[in-house]
Amino acid sequence: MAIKEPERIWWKPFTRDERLWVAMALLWMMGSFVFMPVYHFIGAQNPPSETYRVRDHEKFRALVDGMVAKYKVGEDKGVPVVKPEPGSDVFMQASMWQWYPVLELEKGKTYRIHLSSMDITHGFSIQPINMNFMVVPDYDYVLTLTPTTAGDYYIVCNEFCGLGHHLMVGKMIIK
Amino acid sequence: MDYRICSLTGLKINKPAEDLIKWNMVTAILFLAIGGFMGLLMALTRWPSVHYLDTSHYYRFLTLHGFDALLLWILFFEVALVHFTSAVLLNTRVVAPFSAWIAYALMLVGAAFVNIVVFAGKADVLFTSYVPLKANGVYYLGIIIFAVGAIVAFANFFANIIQARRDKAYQHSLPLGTFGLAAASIIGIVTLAHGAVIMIPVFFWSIDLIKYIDPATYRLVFWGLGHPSQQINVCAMVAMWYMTAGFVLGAKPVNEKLSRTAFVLYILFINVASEHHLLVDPVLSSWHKIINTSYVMHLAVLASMIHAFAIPASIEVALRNKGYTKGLFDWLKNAPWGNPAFSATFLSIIGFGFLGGTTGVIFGTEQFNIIRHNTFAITGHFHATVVSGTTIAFMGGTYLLIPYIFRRNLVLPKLAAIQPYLYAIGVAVMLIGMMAAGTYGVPRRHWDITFSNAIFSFSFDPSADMFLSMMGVGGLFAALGGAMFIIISLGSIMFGRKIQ
Amino acid sequence: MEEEKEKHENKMEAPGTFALSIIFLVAFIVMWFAHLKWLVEIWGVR
Repeated sequence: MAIKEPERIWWKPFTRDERLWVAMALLWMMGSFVFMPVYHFIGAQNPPSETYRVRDHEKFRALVDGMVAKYKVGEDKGVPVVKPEPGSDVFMQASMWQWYPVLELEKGKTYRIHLSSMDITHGFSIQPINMNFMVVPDYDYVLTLTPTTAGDYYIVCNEFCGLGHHLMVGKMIIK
Repeated sequence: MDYRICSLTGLKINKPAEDLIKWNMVTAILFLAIGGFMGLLMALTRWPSVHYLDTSHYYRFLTLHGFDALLLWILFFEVALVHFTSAVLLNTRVVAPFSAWIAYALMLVGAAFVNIVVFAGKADVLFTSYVPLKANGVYYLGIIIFAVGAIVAFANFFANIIQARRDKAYQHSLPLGTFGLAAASIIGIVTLAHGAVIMIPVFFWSIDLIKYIDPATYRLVFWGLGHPSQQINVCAMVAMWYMTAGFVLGAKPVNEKLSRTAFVLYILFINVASEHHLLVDPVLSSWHKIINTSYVMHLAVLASMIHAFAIPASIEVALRNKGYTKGLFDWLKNAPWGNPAFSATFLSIIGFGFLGGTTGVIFGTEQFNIIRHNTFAITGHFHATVVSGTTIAFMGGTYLLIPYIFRRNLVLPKLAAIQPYLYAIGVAVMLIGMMAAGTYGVPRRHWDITFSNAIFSFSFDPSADMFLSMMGVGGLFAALGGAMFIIISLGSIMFGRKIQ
Repeated sequence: MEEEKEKHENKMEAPGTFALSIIFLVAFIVMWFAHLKWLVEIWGVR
């Protein structure tokens, strides 16, 4: 019994149902594990790991401002809308409680989206497509992103960032 | 030596062990009452048509809900199990009652620090307190004191079994329940050490003695505390399953080799998975994430699947031996469903396996995490493991231990017989609502998902609202079931009929 | 002795639990593939 000391020799052979169950469970576990590395080679949706250190927040801010100055095509609710060239480096700045700027991207084209935070940790959640990434201060996280559906998408912050957390909504337009 | 013989089980119970189990259990139940009440407020706030709390109270009580329900209720109960499985099951004594009481005092002081500073509104940082979000220094100090106390408590387990060996309380192998708690204690010490390693510098940072804490490093080491401390729960819960089956039905593990190997797999691999929380983080490479998130090729998950088979199998064999041998499920029909210790155990196995374990592996798959990270589905997952798994198992454990340790019968036995069902169904409805809302992208830890005052207006698919309401209704039933548990357990401890 | 061991190894000790476990495994695999379907519907990212 689980509440008593077992008999002297408890290293005993398995019964048939035990053997079968362990074999099936092991097979499924190995399969679902092997999926992860394999999907990096065959799949289009994998968590990025390209990262750069941001030693000075102002330098990242300067990159954002430079991009806004170069590619600005308008404004939406007072936030600049930028339309960067496909394949280029795009900078998205998170701060309490704003995503800056609004991005206008082309469907089917690939962009390098740099995410960084000016203050505390934020969560970059593209809705309603529902893709989620973390934005950590002092790091630049690069998403090599290829939007495949057109429409208006919104960026919701999904990591708690203070009392204005629920006000932090940004926008992405895919054309 | 101060011993008594339990008239129900024949166990030899050491007086200091009995007192330690009593105090730790009652403290656990009181923190469950606070944490559970906060949980009710959470459900009422995230239920869109109720939306009860204001912004700052929502985040404040969410911090407290996590701390009291996740850490305090469960760890105090586990310390009670440490003494039960080491001293009581082995018919021996607590070697150093003094250090066990020091551990209890440290844990209580740390818990009080955190509760007070959060209630005072000085630490609205949520359970994770991601740096550079800063709380009052007392918050971190409280966690450090609590963690040190818990480490001392788990160290007591090893002192007790070493002494038991010297006293010839067991000959060759520990009983499986004790073996499970040994695994839990090893994991516990490693995990809580992570907590101390990261919280000590953060404490100095909060009082401006250290200038900088790297946010990514904090996330990694914090989750070395945050995630594996759930694995202490898994180990202790599985041990509780085995023990309840043993006490209630006289069930015997079908194969000790199988069950013990599975516990060893836990010890080796389950501590790894802190990166479930970091799969869509910068810094770490994909290989690192994959090995870590899979508990090294899912070998620790395999262990859970072994237990999930071995325990019902032992129950089945025990019931078949009692003569319920017809067909596949005659034994299941004739199981003691009216005994709350048994029904809670079975519901816990089902809830943990079907709802918690499966979603854990799926959401912890590196790629799938992109579509689930920080959504409400994650909240659903860990309520499945920690509430419908561990909490229900420990509720069953409480029903089991009240007669043995407090020597009292349960009050309101009819209510006690339905309590596990009401609670389990309420929790299941609640967390399925959470998971479904999460698939539409609804974030966790969010006060207003209508974004009514944000500059861009966005609304989720209307189905999400329906699932959030489902969560609210389930939460109400769970709160009712939880309140029944508190009344029955504390009522029995104070007013139950005495057993000679 | 050998015969007894063989008998033990060919025994289905807990057929009911085994059936429940198969149901569990099927549910698990179905949920996993549902997530794979949802995954391929999102944008490309690496």
